[in-house]
Amino acid sequence: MNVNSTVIGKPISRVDGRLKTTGAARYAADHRPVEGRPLHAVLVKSSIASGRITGFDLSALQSMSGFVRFVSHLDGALIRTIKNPVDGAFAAGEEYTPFENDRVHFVGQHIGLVVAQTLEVAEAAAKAVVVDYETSAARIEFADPTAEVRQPDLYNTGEELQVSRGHVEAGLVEAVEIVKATYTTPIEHHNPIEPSATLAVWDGDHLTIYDATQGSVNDKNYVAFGMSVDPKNVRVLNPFIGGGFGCKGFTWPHTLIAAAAARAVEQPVLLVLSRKDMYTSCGHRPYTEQEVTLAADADGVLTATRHRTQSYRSLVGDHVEPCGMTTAMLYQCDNLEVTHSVRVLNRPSGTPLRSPGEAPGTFALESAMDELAEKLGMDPVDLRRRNHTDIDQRNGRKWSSKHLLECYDRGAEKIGWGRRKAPGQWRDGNDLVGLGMATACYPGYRMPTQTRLTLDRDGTLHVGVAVQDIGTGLYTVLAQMVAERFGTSPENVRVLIGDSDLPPGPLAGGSMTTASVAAAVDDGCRALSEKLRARLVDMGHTPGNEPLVIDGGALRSGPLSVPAAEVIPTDVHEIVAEGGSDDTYGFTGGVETDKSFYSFGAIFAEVRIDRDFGIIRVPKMTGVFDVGRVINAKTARSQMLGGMTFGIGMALMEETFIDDKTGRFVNPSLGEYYVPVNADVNEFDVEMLDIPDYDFNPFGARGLGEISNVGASAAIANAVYNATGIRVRHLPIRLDDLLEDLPR
Amino acid sequence: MLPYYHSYTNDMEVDLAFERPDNLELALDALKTRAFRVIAGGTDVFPAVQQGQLPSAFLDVTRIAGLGGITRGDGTTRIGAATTWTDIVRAELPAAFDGLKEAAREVGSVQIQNAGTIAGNLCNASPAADGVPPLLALDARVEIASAARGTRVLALSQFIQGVRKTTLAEDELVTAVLIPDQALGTRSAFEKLGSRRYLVISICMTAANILLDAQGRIAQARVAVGSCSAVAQRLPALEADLLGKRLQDVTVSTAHLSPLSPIDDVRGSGTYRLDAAQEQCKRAILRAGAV
Repeated sequence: MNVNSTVIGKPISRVDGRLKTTGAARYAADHRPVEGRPLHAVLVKSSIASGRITGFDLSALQSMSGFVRFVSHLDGALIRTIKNPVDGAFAAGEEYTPFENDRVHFVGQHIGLVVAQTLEVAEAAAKAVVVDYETSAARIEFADPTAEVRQPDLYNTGEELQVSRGHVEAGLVEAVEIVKATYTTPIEHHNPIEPSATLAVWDGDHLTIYDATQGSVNDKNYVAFGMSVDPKNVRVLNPFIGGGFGCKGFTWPHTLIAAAAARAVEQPVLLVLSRKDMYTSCGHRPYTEQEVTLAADADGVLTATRHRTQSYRSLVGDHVEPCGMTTAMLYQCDNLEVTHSVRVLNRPSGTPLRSPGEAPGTFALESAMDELAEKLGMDPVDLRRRNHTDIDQRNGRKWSSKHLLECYDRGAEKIGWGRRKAPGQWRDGNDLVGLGMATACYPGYRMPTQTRLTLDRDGTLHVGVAVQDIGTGLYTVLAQMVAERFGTSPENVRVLIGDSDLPPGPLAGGSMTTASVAAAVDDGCRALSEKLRARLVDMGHTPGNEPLVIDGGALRSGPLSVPAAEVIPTDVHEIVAEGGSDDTYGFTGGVETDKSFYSFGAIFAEVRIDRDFGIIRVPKMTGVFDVGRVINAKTARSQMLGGMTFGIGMALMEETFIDDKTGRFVNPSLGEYYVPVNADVNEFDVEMLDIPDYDFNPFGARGLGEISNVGASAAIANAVYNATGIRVRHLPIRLDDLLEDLPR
Repeated sequence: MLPYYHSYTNDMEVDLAFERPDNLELALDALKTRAFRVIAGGTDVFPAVQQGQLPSAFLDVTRIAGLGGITRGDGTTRIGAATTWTDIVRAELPAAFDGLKEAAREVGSVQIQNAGTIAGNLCNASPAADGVPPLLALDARVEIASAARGTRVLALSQFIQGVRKTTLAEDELVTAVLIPDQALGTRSAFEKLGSRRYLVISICMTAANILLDAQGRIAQARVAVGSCSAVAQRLPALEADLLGKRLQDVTVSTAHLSPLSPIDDVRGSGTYRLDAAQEQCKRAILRAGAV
């Protein structure tokens, strides 16, 4: 690794920036079949929360010119029954087969699809479908006493959800101060700007899908299974994705339904989900109730920790919001109990949403730490330092690279932590001012990834891998990695991603793509380099031991310089090498190692609260992160800005309301689901320590993105407490939560 | 983007009329013949169409000559019905209109302000319409025309009757909003509260028009609060109490707020809204009165 790289770590602008800003980048719904026009499809969704479909009245549709076909469970087995979608070679958002039978499990379930010549006719026809139901009792309310409660063993990473060590009761006896409180977080939706969309094009038994997905390979395998075709016959293309945040991670029924409908009508079908469809079709973050108990001795050393999370799941989706996983890992504590339970409800399915578990979990844990510091009369940063550990509390392993104490120090210095006053004591004109902080952390994940490295006769390098850039900057990061290995500039590298026919890579989730491709690119570059050296030797050259540089259309090694056009035989256009890594980190079946891999950080927030209205503004947030080597300072910073903005939304605005009587989401639109606007975002100060973690991969990057909204909502809530002396234990914090008790 | 493109339903034999007359007489004649959904900027109509509420006939009033723009005369300032919020922001108007301008900048986003019109905001009759409180505080009148009965003018407070309800008959069109010159000497301010900084439905909003006499005493006061009742309300008891007071002596009591009946909803409780309204009134009055 060249630590003085002219490429790695530099704030290089996105190589795909021009395409995106000029509208030349094509997203799933922008594509059209090579021949002809696609038919348009619109979903028919259930309006009841529980029951079965007894019939469809389609009489109004038949007279509609342009109406083509209505597809539903009555069409027989359009889709092969999927029993264990998460066990096989693919992961689905829901563990059921669309259109398999007449059962309805939640409002918004896909129960039919209208296909028509135009979108307008499809929309009108979908509205004209009359569905007859036989309703049955629905369990919608969170506290429904008849709801089944489950204690799942494992999260989808393989991590244990029920953790116990030492004796919590004994730890409580030792303590001088105990905090026991319940924190709640609301239903939240991902709301990417680009809605999910699928264009399915069949050619015989070959299927091409343009899909708004965070995982083309997973998508391919899932659809191939559901359509009973060889995965080799399915190609998923997703060159550009307009954000996902988790809702395009696993494959959801609509993709399969579009593929099935296209086969049924023997024409390409385009299905674009409406914003309202998005609220019930591809997951959300479920509501959580978290009881946290923290006990400490007089020095602030934790003697007992308990974190009990209650959440819910749908009847057909197994997502658990794993709030306590961070708690089991983060602070030194020998007596600990972490539990997760889910109620089975007639609600749409949950799914990972940016930092699943970590974001709501740290709201509870880091708020409780703040409460404990207050009780102990201790500075919140000091309390965290006292309980800092160099050992992963879950397994006793050392961290591969942990610099959290530096994050605390830098963050405290940058926000001006010394200005902090006792709760409710800092006034500036009509405003109450407060500072708060929280620890951030996120697991280091890596998945098996293969790459194809190519040199063409122009001396241009190509890197291909079936991963995707969901807006994070991966195109640029891949170009930088390859450029670094061959001593050239990123402009000399063409990046091919977003195509499941390329060598396989993981889905874009868990902030793991950069770390995953790092190992694969390193190996692929090594393989290409070896091939090229062998070729140079064949040609009668004697390349030295110096690294092979490919720049300006020539290959150089020490004094040797040979044009690429000479190196590459005239009967071929390019030299191709494949490489990769089968290693997994952070998931079941991972590499045996004596190290644990995690990223850490510290988030600080300053809030100002209008004393008369309780309006909360966040004039400044500081985030200092230890995420390993940063590959691109600009795109990395953008990720962190986005995550911290999410933090403001989570703390102060975001919430989906459900009607407990009908099971409907009440505010399924961006007009009523508030996320921060530009004017809500003020100064963000982001620093990354940039300390490489070469135990994790040859580029030393641990991956980043999600860590920046972990702890962010707690930092804001803690700052609100510091400003007002009012502890709000639910999110979002509303204006009227504060008004009654505000110090006037 | 014109809303009628969305209803491209020629194939479906849906009878969809779209009239775009260029003079008032044609528009009023059309309104005699059938029920039209009158449309100007379309910023409320278009989302409703997307929700499936597709009227069978539209009457676009944006091409009617003389329906846009702001003019003075006859003891009034006349704001044409099709005047956009951006037009209002950019117009040179006396300080009495500062509150209206501040509200204009808070109606949706800039894009909405470029399309949305003053009369559209009134006819839509949302309890949270940002345009209504400042117009109430300006003592605005609404000019209405019909082919059968000519022109009538009534107070804004009589025009809006409830949530999404106005006195407008099916054959009538709002042609202008009229501000009497009596308001001209006043200064004004607008306060808005929402759960984010911009692009937000108001939890509570207040407009005040204040005139101070030479001794610095309040000689004229009009205060109106929105989002705290089905229709935005003037606060007559407060206005009466303000007369003769110096700004530093201004107090707003809960009794002053008796015309308000805020509801609890997801954005804020009724109690909170009343608290906020009380403070907003004070701030709006002080800011309007400050030279």
